[in-house]
Amino acid sequence: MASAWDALERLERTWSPARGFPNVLAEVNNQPLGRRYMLTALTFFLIGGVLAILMRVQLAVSENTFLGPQAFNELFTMHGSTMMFLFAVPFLEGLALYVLPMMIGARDVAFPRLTAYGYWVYVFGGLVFYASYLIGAVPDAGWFGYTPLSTQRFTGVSTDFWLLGLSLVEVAGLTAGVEIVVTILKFRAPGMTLARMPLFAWALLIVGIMILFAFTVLLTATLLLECDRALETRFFDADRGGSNLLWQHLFWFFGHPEVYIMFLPATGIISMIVPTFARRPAVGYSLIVVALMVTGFVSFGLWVHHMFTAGLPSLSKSFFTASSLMIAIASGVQVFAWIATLWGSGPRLATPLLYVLGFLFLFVLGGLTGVMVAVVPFDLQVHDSYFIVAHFHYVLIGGVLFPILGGICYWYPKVTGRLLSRRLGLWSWGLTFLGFNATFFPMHIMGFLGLPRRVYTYQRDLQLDGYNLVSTAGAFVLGLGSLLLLIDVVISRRRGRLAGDSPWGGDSLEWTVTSPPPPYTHHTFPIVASRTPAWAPSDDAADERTKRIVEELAGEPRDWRATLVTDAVDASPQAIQYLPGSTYLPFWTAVASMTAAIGILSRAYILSAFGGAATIIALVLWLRPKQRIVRLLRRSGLAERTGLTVFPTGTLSTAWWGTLGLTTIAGSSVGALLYSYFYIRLFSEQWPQGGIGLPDWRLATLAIGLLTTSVPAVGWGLRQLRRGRRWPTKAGFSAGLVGGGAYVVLQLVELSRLGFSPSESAYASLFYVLNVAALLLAATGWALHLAVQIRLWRIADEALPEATLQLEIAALYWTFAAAAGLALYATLYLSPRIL
Amino acid sequence: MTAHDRTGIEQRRLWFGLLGGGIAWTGQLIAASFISEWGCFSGLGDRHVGGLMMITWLLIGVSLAMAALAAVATVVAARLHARWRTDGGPGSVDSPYDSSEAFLAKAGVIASGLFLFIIVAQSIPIVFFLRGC
Amino acid sequence: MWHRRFPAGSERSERGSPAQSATPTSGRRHGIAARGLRARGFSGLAGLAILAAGCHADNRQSMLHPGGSAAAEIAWLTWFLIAVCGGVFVAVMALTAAAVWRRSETADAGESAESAADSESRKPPPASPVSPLGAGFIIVAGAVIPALILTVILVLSVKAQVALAPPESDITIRVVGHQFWWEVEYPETGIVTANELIIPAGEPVRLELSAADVIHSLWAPNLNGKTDLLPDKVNIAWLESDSPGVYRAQCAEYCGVQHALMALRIVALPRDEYDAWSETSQASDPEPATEPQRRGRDVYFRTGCHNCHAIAHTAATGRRGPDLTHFGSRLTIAAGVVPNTPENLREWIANPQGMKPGNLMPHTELTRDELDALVDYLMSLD
Repeated sequence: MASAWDALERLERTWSPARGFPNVLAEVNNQPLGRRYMLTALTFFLIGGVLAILMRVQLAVSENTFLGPQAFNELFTMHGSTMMFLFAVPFLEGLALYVLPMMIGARDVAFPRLTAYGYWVYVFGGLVFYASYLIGAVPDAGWFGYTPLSTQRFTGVSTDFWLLGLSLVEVAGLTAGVEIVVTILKFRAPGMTLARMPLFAWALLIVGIMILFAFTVLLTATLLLECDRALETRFFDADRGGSNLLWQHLFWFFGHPEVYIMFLPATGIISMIVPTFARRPAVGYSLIVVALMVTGFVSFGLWVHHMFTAGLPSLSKSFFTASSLMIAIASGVQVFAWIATLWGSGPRLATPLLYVLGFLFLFVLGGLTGVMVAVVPFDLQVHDSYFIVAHFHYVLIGGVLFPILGGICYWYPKVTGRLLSRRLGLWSWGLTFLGFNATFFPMHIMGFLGLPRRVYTYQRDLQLDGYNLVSTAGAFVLGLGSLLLLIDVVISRRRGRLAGDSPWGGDSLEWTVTSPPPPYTHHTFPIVASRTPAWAPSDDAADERTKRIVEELAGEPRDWRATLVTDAVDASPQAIQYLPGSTYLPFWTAVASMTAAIGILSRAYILSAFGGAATIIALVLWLRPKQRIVRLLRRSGLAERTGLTVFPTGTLSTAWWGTLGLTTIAGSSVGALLYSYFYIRLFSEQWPQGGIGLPDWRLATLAIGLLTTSVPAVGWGLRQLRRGRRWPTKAGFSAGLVGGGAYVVLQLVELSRLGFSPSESAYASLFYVLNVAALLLAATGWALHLAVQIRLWRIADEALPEATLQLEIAALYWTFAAAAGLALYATLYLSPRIL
Repeated sequence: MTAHDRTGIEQRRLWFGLLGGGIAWTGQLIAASFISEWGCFSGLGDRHVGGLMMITWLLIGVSLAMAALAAVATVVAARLHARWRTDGGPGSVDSPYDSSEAFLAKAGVIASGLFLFIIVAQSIPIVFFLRGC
Repeated sequence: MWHRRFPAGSERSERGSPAQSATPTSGRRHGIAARGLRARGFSGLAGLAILAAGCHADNRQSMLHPGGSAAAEIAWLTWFLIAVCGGVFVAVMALTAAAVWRRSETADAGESAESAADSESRKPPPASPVSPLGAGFIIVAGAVIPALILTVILVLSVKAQVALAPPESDITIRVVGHQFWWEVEYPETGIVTANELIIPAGEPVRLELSAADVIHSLWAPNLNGKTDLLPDKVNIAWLESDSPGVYRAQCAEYCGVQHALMALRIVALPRDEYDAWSETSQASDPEPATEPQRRGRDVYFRTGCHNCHAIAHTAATGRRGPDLTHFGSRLTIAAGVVPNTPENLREWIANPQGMKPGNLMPHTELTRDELDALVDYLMSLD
């Protein structure tokens, strides 16, 4: 008995969060970081809300002078950017990071240090955003930053604050995306097949994948715009062959999926709350899953409906009318699945469910106005009018904020162990719902009656004073309602009634652990045999192997953090994944990243170079294989006891999946660059632009030839490694080092001898940037190869298997870098000769 | 049944059945938007073949091909589902629920079928723009 | 008098809601505009200007008060969409209400939570009976019925799109968006004006839209949907007013600090009056007739107004600000901020950042006399 207590205590100590300053900066565990994410996001929500109230005060009456135009334009830019980038997405990411491991039966998320890095980058991004108020250069080009208004010619450093703050937050979003996808695919409890995954996890899986594509495109676009601003490239300079419509295409290719990146997790929350209160499993589970998938796909095919007035051909627009209408089917399926689940169940109308009902009312209304704006002729009238403001607030507040508030009420007892006050909750819900409708319903009519968006005032003869006054009054009620909930969150932390483990009787695994959950989340990995594991906890039919593994891992390992890796599809146990503990590296890496951004912001490029170099050094320290851990794992004996490897490789390893995620990100960035190239190409009468001759293909062909031929050699080296042959492995991987090195050198030579500068024309800018992208991808891969060689030369033959993962990752990345290089080469050097 | 019991070919069929419809839809939308935006701006829309715009023919061709792809994906998924839905196997004791693969196949039938409908709906506008953008 | 002359217009203005009364400034504006136009000897135009002033007050900037065929087509579609979507909304809400109608007999949240806090908290809750509604209901109500409705909407949308394609038109007008005003040019006649679009009533007018700096968007909701003005390329739009009248239009794409105050008046004239207007607008402005006007002209050229503001047939050729040819006949100043009266003009020139902060017109130091003379001169241009 004593030893059992001792074991538990050691487990507890291994996982317990860091306390006190500066230890908290080193925290990497998902629970404290998830909480911090959510609290930080709620802080930004409060700030964004105050900005909104200020705007509503200015608009309460016509020709008001409470705020000047400049202040107002700053407010709507900051309000939109804050609510989208600093509140909604980060909050949902934080919720996911906190709840997911509990819900799917893991002990942490896949990349704890990346979680910490993402969190800090997010905080720093938000600080950069708001630092603009300190120096009085607040972003004022709108949250959509349309060029040319957002170019150097029309806005000053304020837009740099916006772009760089945004870039940091996007990086945070990307880390969360990879994190979420890999966690869901690899850390599910044994038996939690894809067919039994909670719908919240399904929604997040799809959202995670969407983030990898959408955020990358935005990140690429913002970097291109920053290049235009800081380095005088010409991507968006119409006078030099660039295109303003390109910015709109790229921005909305991100911007529309962004809406669903916020909305799908919100539906995931709804899909958890509804079955709990209906006390029956979700009806139409597979239909909901398909609806999520279809939404994920189709959301990438709607972006042009933000550009219906931009003068695109009527025919093009009509396709996007079709896609924008059809996505409503997916939403319709979800709505009716929830109705079917609730039907006749006599649900208890507790606050989480009230938020669900409020959500249904508001979201269905907002969805239907969404159907209306998909209709091109109608949209030509209401586009950029207050009708749109009404529409997307119904979708975003009704469709995202209400589920978030419902989710707060639902999971608060799990996070804190205490219930929120029911009475405050009812008041808060009622005020929020009424205030919201009073604020935003009149805006539909204001749009019909000719009020454009983003105006700091409107003239009296528009005769809109009455509607606006109602709207402003509503905003105060709405603000009060949300504030009440936040107050409730604060005071119930200490004074709320104790909740118990499962106050609502929920069906998913998080309700099987204590409230608040232990730092290691699951002492014993649950075995899942249904979609409602908390309602049917035991499973006698699990196979012996799984049972034995789960038994061996009950409270184990005690002295280092680890979790169980299972098959991505059918969740059978595959490996044990070591997870890192507290470290300051993520924090300092984030500081270095921020330094690089601030360097660009202040045009002190030496600072950027310093920040960039520091980031790279930190990453090397971070990723460096540590012999101490190898020895620890080897000694643990866990592999022998469970029959599972503690050195997972290939698809068993989170690192491998993470690399796949990284290549997906880099790949979509390359895709966005290629899209930009061809978009500008198609609308240029002359190509290459501005009298630049066709590119000389000889050196580039030699370079890409060397790069691509090294890929099969590296692949051969990897196969030799699996046969345990050290020297052939070294030889094969040397080809990567040599071929990659030659490629990098030749690319540098190629770039240095070009007879034109990147600022000559959009073509010239594209030529440089695409080549630099290929160069950077190859140089990163080359660095990986260098690390591989160092390791291969240093370790003993017996240690070869433990190096496998590193070599696999280098080879995987190398294949990608060569493929991307080839695509960029074909575009730059071959396509002008063919097309 | 676990994933490893399935043959590689069946795995590939399963993923095709699940994602084929979505990929076909993506292909149709990207092709249609590029063909129409480029065609109409560059004056290609003025070139007529057999009474219709040249780009109309292109659009019809792409749409038919992608609809066919989605239809094939639906059928592939349906056949896999029909085969797998009954073999419960040790991993799926709660009989209302099929194995992961059967579930994915079922999802593929619905998703690819829905995408087939969306592709058809997305082709409707072409009929209204036969002779000019 | 204009009731008699323009029955169609007066009828239009009466169609407005009875609650809408003339703004306090409308009478004054009417007087000013009439005075300016009468001085030029066009009684018909004077009548129109009165109509303009009167009509403007009642004829609000609204897509639900169409003044032309395009807006009428869209307004019909709007009401159709509101009806369909409204019906769907009511139906879905009724179903939702029905789904939760039957209240549970079990205790409310507080009690249940307390009992849950007991040791047995992991016990599954009493299960509800299986839902009578299954996948079939979801597929029919959530997919099949929406698909049918959406297909109908899609067909109607595309048909309306085709119907709204720019028709053949005799008149082409170039509109160039500037921060924060509109340049209007008639390529056939060489007329250049600003913040006013004079069109003939009853026929479609083709617009060639472009921008000099950032992206703007022209939105005259009573006449047609909006189209962006891009610096990259020329966009084509069209307008048609069924009858004579004045419409307000506004920039709808955020274009910088004074995006809010960037309005445009669209004046639809009967064809013969449009022709007359076109005729006189090509003529040069009258020579200054009085001593103050002559002094005003001196001020105009001495203090540099001419560097930005062109006046046709004079040495003033600047194009950075609005062309001021025939300025006295304009309805508003500063792109629709205030009616064009001498008092307002004085205030505007004396402190351009006062009534429209952030606009690009610089402050010019003028004595009281100079200002008076300048205003006198400018109001004499008509």
